[in-house]
Amino acid sequence: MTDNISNRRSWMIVPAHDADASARCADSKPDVVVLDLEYTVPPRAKVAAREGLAAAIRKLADGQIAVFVRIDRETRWADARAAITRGIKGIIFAGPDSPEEVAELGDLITAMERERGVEPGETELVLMMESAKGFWNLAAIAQASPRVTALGVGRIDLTMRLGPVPQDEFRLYRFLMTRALVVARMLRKQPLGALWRPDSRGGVAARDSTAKAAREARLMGFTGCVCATPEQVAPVNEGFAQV
Amino acid sequence: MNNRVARCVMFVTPTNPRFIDKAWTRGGDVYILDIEDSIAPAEKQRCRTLIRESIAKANKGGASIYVRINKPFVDADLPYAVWPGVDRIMLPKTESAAEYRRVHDIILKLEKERGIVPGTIELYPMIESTLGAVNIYEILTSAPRKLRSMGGGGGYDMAVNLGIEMFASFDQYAFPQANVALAAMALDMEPTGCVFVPNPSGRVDQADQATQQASALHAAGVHHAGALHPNFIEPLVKGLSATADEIAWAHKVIAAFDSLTDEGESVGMLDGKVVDKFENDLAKRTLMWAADCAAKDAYKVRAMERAQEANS
Repeated sequence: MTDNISNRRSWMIVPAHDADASARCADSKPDVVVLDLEYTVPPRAKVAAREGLAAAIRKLADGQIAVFVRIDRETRWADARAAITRGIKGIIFAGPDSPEEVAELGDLITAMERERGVEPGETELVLMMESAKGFWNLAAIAQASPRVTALGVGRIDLTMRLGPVPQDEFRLYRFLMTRALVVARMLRKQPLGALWRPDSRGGVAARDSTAKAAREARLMGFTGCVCATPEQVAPVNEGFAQV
Repeated sequence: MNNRVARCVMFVTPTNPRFIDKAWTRGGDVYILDIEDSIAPAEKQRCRTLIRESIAKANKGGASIYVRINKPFVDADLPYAVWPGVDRIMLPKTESAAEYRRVHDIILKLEKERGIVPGTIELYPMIESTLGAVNIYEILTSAPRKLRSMGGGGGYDMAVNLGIEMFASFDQYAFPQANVALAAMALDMEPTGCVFVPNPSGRVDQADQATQQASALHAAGVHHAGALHPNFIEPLVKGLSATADEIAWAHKVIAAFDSLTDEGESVGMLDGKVVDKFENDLAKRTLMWAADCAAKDAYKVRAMERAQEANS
């Protein structure tokens, strides 16, 4: 599986502390593997997850797999420190609120690249938007670091508490997706997101609803999205396939 | 009682005894004393002089009071509108930070003169034009005045401004309303709009329309609605309150998340549903909302009893 930056459809989340999941992650053929230090890692497993990260990244990279690390907003500094190592493609920052936060993270990555012998400026930054402040400041945030290569719509139904509306969508969801798409295209970043429906929330969505969410997002202009389970990878790859 | 419970916000005309004298018996959470579009030009001055006594009439049943002023007459209106007992001044057709700021300054002066804690009367910019919708963030950040909730970007004036029909079978206000809601959320205000319920008939007096509207708002997490007719009050108040089932479920989620946390886990399942920090937060909000509703309802009952005793 060779990384093709113009064709990263499925970004599969793998809990960084789970060695089994990491070993099997290529089986479902995701375009990108995302080692997660955030939400899917229980608090008690965080330290071990950070410590094992460099080895896990190298192993995946040796297998020609494009590997990113999703960092936890609350502990992003320590998480980014643990993640920057040879073989990593980039960092996923979920929930930025301001350009300053992104610039600061970019600087931290620069320092770590120097320390770890990673080609300067090589590490990409993917921003997954999850807050109203972030969406309001979107264009400034996306331009806060030259490392930013993709702009995505995160779990806004949960983080922004967007309940369902009678049109079978989440309140404000389409508006926020459009906002992300416009800014991403304007700045030539990859737009990431899927049009999840209230009855098929991302984390537990079955095959059919995942395929539908991906297909509708492609029609809106998105080119990939995050997969919470290995079963979502195939429908996402099909949904985002260029026809 | 100034709290955030505004399940039903209804306009009342102070000049019409039939409405203003009976409003307190209807059970609304909030009444808006209108000096604007429901008052004819020749009646405006009489209306202004009635505001102060109308506050005491309309809040007898425990409702909060807002006053809607006229944008072209803010200087004439505000001295008659800013009184203790008023929670919010509504400024129609707000389009710029400068005009919002000017009204803020006048209210501040009157608050100081009249023994009201400065900055405590909310100033609500009604967004009824595209210019207002585009400038919303600058408007909301132009004065240091608290505002709990914010919505808007639709309505008759917006339809005229956009050159469209007001009642349609699709959401023709999607962009301006969402822009207003996003700015409100970015500023930590509770967003109160953006739930589209088709009403092609345009009627505003039918209780079943109110019930549908309440259920759509409730599902989407919005607990705030407006009414033009008393028939809307009961369905809205009832439909936007936390239900017993929601409260019971919230307690279960919080208990389940607590034991997950004790076990060092972050995600679990409860009756086939995911339990995580997001669901835990949502459950806590449900309980806060339930407590706020209960407090408001108890306050209304006590106020109603006092008013009925005084009447008998």
